[in-house]
Amino acid sequence: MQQVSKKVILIGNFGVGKTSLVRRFVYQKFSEEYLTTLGVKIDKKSVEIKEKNTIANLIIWDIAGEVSQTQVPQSYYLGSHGVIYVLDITRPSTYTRIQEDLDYVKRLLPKAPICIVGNKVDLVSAQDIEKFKSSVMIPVHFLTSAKDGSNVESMFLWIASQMIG
Amino acid sequence: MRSFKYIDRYKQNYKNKRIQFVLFDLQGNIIESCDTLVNISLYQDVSIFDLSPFLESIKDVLASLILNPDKIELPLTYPRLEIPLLTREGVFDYSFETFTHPETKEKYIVWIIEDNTDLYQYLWKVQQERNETAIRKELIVIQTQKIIQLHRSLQEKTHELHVKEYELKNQLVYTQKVQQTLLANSNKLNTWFADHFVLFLPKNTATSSLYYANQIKHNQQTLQFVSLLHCTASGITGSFLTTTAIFFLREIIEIEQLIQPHLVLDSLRSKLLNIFQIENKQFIENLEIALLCIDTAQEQISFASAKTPLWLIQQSNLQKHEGSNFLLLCPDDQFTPFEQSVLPLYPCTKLYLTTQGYLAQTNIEQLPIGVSHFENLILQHAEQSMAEQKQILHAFFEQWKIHQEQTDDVLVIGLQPIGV
Ligand SMILES: Nc1nc2c(ncn2[C@@H]2O[C@H](COP(=O)(O)OP(=O)(O)OP(=O)(O)O)[C@@H](O)[C@H]2O)c(=O)[nH]1
Ligand SMILES: [Mg+2]
Repeated sequence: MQQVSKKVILIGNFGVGKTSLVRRFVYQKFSEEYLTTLGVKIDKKSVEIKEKNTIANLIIWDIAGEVSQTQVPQSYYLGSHGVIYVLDITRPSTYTRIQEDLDYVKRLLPKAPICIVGNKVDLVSAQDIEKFKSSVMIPVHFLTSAKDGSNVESMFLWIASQMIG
Repeated sequence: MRSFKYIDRYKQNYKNKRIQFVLFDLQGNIIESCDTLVNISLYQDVSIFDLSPFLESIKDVLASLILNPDKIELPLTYPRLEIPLLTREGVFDYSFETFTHPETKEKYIVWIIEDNTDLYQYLWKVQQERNETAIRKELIVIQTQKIIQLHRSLQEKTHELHVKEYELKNQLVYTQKVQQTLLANSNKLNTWFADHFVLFLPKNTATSSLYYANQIKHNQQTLQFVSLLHCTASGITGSFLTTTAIFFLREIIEIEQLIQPHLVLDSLRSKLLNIFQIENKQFIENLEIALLCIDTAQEQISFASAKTPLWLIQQSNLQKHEGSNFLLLCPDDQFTPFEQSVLPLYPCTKLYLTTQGYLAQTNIEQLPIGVSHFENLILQHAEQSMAEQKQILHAFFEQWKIHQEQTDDVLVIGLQPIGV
């Protein structure tokens, strides 16, 4: 099996659950307490992508949330192979700027696959999800919950597989 | 001071003591390091890229720095990295430059590491507070709108003869979820007060008794608010009214920053009347509420309430403050503004609030627990820890109730704001 090393960044508004998603994926843990990320945290986890006969060593950059992704230092984006853009389903303010943000990220990283994630799905009803999907207007790849773990593993596996190409 | 072959020139330019320079090549060989922060020189046999996932992930970027410098905007800096530097925890700023060997003309990377943990601790606090406030405000507004919509739709539905069962169930579950998020978590109360307990025994899935607690900063003051609410109607309508009242309380205290309990209750009353468009008629659902504003720095408590007394124990003396003797949703023509008591707060002062649910619980002879039993219990055990007092009140309640149904939701709060 071949091994590759891939840098993936998590971006999005503050408090949407970026750190919690990484914590769930890497350590299988969750905490209700909110401790904001000041700059960047980095974690590593290897995943096996069977259909591509590859082990991907993911180096996950959990970046401090900003209202607009243009406020993130440009150096953080450099060399990223993939992007996870996280929204909080319960807070519309976290997805009002999604189009501008995505345009900006695509300009910086034209080749990197982008995964759009609606997080905190455990907090909402089926009706809320419909409302969320219609107001985001862009296809959301995964609805996740860092709290109960739903879809977290599959989301990271998906982006890993996309990055391998 | 140790002298270095190549990195001395960099060190001279920096006054900051907590700074380390490391020189390495693209294969990851460490050429030189001043080791001010950590002993990177110890790892001469290891590729530097294996030591740090950060460096591993920017290997290509560093290669471009040497091979295609035009493609990279300089200076190449990475601020606020919350990643341990080998064994050293902290928040670091990294920057990278290239260095050309004077003789061989070979190019190396200079890695400049600044430990700015102290500076960032302050910045972190500011950011945390900014984010928390913004999130809280957004959620309050959303949840308030949602609960109002739900209440409206529920009111409409009660007119229909056959309410679909599954819809009701859904709403009950939603109400319960919302209510759970509203209850202040015990960890926070622990950080604000020397000791406390909350004895909460809801009778149904969606409860009509709830409490609210939060700490706010108001003009340099840090104030804690504690409120206990009970709706006189039980069932789903009762729980909606209490839940809505808590959302408004949050709006009034946390966003509008009204801090005088009697004014908060005046405003809460008019907001609720306004939203539910209740005009001067008999209210089937009504609210009992107590609100405390605790200022530990000024050693003072302000208290206002609608039919919910405050008990205060100071040096084995029990005082009871009745508050206003009318329910919250009083029609305009009968309404007089709420009164407020301002009381001194001494170390070890203990405060107690309870809903009628505890006092009204009947025993096998249909006798309620009543105020005097409650007062005796809290006075007798006031010197014990709040956790022990909770146990005693709970055990007494269960014993009294034995073989009887629970009369109503029970919510009793005990607080000792300042320790010895
Ligand atoms: N219920 C629920 N809460 C979540 C979930 N994910 C995160 N949270 C909570 O949301 C809050 C913020 O989570 P973080 O992971 O710190 O958010 P972040 O995006 O890293 O925030 P910044 O670092 O400030 O950008 C915390 O209180 C978490 O407990 C989730 O899936 N469900
Ligand atoms: Mg974070």
